[in-house]
Amino acid sequence: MTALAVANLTVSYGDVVAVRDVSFAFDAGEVFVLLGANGAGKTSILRCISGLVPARSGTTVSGERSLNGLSPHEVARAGISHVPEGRRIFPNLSVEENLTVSFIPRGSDRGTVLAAVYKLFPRLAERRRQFGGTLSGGEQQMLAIGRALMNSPALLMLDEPSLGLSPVLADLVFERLAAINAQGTTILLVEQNATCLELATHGVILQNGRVLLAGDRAALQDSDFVRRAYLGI
Amino acid sequence: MSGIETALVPVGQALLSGVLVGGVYGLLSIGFSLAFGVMRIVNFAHGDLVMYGMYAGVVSATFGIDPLYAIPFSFLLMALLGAAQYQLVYRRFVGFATLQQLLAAIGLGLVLQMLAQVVFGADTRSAPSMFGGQYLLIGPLFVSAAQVMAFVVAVIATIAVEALLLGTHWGRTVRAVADDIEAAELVGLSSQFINITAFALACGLAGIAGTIMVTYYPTDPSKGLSLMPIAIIATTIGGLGSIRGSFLGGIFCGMVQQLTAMLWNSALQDVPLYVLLLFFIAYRPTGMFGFRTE
Repeated sequence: MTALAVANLTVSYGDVVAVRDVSFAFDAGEVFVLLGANGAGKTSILRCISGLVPARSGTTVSGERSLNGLSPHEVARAGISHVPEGRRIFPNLSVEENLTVSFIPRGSDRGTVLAAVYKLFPRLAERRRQFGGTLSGGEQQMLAIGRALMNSPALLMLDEPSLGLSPVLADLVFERLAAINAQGTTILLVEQNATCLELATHGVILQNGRVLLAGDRAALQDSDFVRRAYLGI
Repeated sequence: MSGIETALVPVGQALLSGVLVGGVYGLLSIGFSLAFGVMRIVNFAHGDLVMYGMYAGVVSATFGIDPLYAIPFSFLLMALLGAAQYQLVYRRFVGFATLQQLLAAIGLGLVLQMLAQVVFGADTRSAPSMFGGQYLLIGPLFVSAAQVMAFVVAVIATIAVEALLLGTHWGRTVRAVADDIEAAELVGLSSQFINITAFALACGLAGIAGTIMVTYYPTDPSKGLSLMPIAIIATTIGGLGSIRGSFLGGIFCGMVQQLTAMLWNSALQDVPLYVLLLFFIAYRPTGMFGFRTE
């Protein structure tokens, strides 16, 4: 089943076109990666799917449901969680409040979902009473992901979760994402860090708002673009 | 009593009256502060809702009902009026206190004042409660029973708002929107619903403040406007967006006013407040408790 289909998407801010005629689709259960340098249009695509910015043209469809014109909280309630760039946790809410305020009921009760998040990120359980703003960068990233999981999402979208983290912490985040995916959550991952390709099933490489290359993990890893731009070979 | 004690009695009297008056200033300030803290809306018409709250007391008194019983109705009416204002005007300005937003609020305030003048007339009106004209003696100090009652209502309302914000799911959603409206939407919270309810609460508090104030302080259609400087000064000193800070800022304003009136001249009672406002804006713009202000 198609988890998300983006067709001929164009996003612009005034006269500046950030995304030009981009199309991609992936199935439920995949880890789909949008790879590209700064300014490639990755963040704009996620923000458009979430309803934070309008599409100038094109469609976004999740399963059978069109996402066009929905407001961000409606997209979240449709089962699509978005971990935004820069984490954007609630600094004046405690860690536990950050999580409970983000709970959306889908069969399981709040305590069960909260326990599952704490199991995935035991560090958050240790800091549950602390204000979100007092956490380290890595802990904030865990909280941002945990908060998105309180929605029990069918699709989890992450905008550069490794940005600003040490390589060790970045690896930890990617490892947790693999575990989340193994439990059945589809992932759409935006990165400029090519190590995330280890996780990917499929993906696209974006450049200046256009799709440069689409393919499976092997195709992306073997591409000249990734070799040159990311691995320095 | 020795000479020094006798000399201190008027000071104690001024401070005590200041605390009582200041409690109500605190209540009218927390509504103003809430709208700013959550939505970054500077509601210059907030005082005019206090004025309508005062007239709610006047109207109930003319029907022979004690204004204290009108408090719940005043709260609901002003909350509804606030929700309507939000939906018609302020919704467009959430997140940035722009010049357009300020002008819209000032315009709305003028409309409310004109409307009050048409409906209630320009005369000064008052509405004493069952405690009107009664005084309590505390040692050498005396206080008006109506002011004590108003202070108690203000404290209860403030504690209730804090409990609502800190202890309920709705309160957590309000604080989440105050922190980051976009992130709140992304976790599935409807910022429109949260903002309109928070704004309604802020305006409902203005209604309560007005109705208890009219039991000892007469009103006229321009009363709201004359109360706005107090709300602005109290929230600036206490910290914009901080409920506790705004309440304490209100009490502080009441004490400074009464002390000035006693030591200097009651016509000049607001002068030190404006000096303090300038001082805080220049040297401590986040106020005493304004940890929320980025």
